[in-house]
Amino acid sequence: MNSLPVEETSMQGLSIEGTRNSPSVFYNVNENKFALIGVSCMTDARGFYQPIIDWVKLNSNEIKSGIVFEFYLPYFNSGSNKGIFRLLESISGVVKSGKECKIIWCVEEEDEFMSEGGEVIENILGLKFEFKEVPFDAKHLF
Amino acid sequence: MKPNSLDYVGVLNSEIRVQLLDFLSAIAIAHLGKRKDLRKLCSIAIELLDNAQRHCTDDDISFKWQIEGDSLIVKVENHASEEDAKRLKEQVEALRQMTPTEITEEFRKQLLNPEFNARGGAGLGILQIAKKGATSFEVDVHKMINGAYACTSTVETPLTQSQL
Repeated sequence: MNSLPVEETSMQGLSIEGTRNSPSVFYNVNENKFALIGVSCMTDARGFYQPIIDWVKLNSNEIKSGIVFEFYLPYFNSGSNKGIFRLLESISGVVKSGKECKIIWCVEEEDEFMSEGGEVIENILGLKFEFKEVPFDAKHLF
Repeated sequence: MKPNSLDYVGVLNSEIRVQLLDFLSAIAIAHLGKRKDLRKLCSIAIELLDNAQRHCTDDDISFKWQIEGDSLIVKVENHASEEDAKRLKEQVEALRQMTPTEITEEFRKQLLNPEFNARGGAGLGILQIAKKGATSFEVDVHKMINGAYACTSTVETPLTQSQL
């Protein structure tokens, strides 16, 4: 039987389906891409983000150079802001290990909420984001 | 009926909160047009509703979004424990003493604080409201006959900037 050309990796997969108040989260092994896509307004942000933070920490040695972390968060509440910050803090560990990483922070045309949210985290953590302009309500593009 | 206002009184749960957000986003565009800060304005309502849902002692709230002249006024009333009501009042009073630089620094400190509680309460939402452009944040707290506390948070934000 022919199998799909999945690259050999010991990394655990990650796939969380989004809801109306929580984002989709996935890691695509073939594309070497991690993405967090959608509104993040849950009341228990720790319950949502801690397993994702743990996943990054658990797999930090296995993550391959060239990985893309993409964020598209049209809305996030302050609890989620903390979760997203903690997640990017763990991603900064991967960056500091010397692996080539790209962090893409998507912003709908001139939206201050989305751009400022990214800039604050970028500045505090000393990371370099690539700010990518996307059209309004771009969830379907990911 | 007053134009440019949205009133909701009743149960607040996660589904209703997200429906209110969708509705608010739509009426904000309809009433204010396309602006760079539209989501920032809506996020003030998100934080107040979030706080009410997290700390209310029953499921009922009263929510009001109103555009009055050049200002947006968002008001949320909910019932809370004495501890949560008093903490909210103290946090908002402390916020009102801060300069914008101090608010930014406190926000940074809160993000860097490794404590990550499921129930919140660290005041990040209140700092977020101030950072989103609110110029007035009032909290009224009073004890009710049943011993619970009624909390009314009112936030006013000018609408004079950020049009595209």
